Amino acid sequence: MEDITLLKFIRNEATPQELDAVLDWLDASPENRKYLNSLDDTDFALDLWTRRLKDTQRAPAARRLDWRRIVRWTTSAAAVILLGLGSGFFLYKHQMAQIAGQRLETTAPKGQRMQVKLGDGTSVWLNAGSSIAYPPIFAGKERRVRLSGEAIFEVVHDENCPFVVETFACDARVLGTRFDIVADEDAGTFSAALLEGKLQLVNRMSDETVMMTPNEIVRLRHGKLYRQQLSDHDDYLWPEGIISLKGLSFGELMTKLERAFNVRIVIKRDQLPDANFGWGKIAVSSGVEHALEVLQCAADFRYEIDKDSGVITIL
Amino acid sequence: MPQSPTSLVLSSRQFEEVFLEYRPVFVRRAYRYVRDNEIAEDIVSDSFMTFWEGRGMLPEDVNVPAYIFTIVRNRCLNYLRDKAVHLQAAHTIHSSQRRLVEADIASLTACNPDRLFQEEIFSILQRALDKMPEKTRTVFLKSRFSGMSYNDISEELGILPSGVHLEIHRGLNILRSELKDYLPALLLIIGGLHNQ
Repeated sequence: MEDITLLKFIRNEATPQELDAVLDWLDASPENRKYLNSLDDTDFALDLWTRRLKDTQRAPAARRLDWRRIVRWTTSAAAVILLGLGSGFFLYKHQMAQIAGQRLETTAPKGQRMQVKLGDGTSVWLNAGSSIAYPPIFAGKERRVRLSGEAIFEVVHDENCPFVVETFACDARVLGTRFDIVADEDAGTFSAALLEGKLQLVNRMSDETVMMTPNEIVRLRHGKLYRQQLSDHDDYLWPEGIISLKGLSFGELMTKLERAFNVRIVIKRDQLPDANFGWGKIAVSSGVEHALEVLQCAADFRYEIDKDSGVITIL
Repeated sequence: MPQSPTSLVLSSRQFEEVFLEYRPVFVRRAYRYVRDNEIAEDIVSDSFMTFWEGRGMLPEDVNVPAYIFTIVRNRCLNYLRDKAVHLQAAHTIHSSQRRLVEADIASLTACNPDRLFQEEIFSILQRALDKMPEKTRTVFLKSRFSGMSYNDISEELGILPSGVHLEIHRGLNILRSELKDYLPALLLIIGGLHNQ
């Protein structure tokens, strides 16, 4: 029996003749039944595996539903069906058509870091609020992903298939390595820090190319790439939930805290306090108040937390 | 020791995510066996409800989607068995309809949610897809995800329709053989049923 016919049988698309043929075939031998069952399992497993694909179009905000609404929705499923939306198979086809040529997109929620495993085994740590788009499987001459925000990549080595991180500003091309990229289009900042291996950066605007060596950081300033040595790796401890304070201005620190803890910080002072930490690290797990207390040791400011809204005001 | 009703297996927020993520997959699966969209939708919705109402009684380490799907599976089986009884009682001349219901009951009995919902399956699938020759993978993925018909694929890629069939067969074979070692128990159950 042809697989195509069996798939039609599984999907309830078989003609009456095909149906009878499949039923006869199934009765002919237990082996045939086993075959159909393994086909069913494969089909189901594939479907489970790709379930995430169907979420790519849904913005995180749109997914914030109250469960009571869902329950109401489930109980009124019959009404939905009457409206003709219920056809499981129609939905299936429709969703599959939507997926054509599409990519998975994962966004780390604010206040959370997330690890994503890509199809080739490469692991990506996404910092809070950052997102990455990638194909479910890498097929072709390149492994191409698109990043917006900050992520650390640990790329599985494959000489024949370079790994390319596309950002709004630069493309980073690697064979196998560990590196951190910050690509914040809104703020117009781009930087790449190479921790291990080799990395080639190509400026999307000028085609300027930089070959990086380990312990280097390249920053984009006024459309040009500038190279600097990395003195330590403290800035890249965020996957472990550690924020490094070193070298950041007070404003930059507040932005970092907002993202890491998913809070809103309002600064109500004319002048920002000086905060030039030569060193210092904060654990995200200790909470935002602890972080602010640590900062108070070195910077002169007061803060208030609105119990209802959670908004933090710097005074 | 029964779990206290307050031991929540998951929050409403998590439930919502599971619901959104799995509902379409479950409806498709239920449809495969009950062969009726409305009934598939109803069974899946009811199963989510049943799970939600009874969640307090579940052990904390329960695999939630697998558990919900087990409810779906059992309800589909109940439905099919009822249908088989009705068909028998009505002395239906449509014997193929009865045979179909019996075949579907057999297939569904063989489906083991606990195995299918283990994470390892996904790396096996990934590996199988990586193993496929380029052409096989392209055809396979196009047929699966782009909603293209076999004829469309044949035209787009400039290969004969028989070639498309062959590549799909090849792709399925690679997947099945990768999954085979992982899902062995199913085969035994089926052998037994067939001899009834």
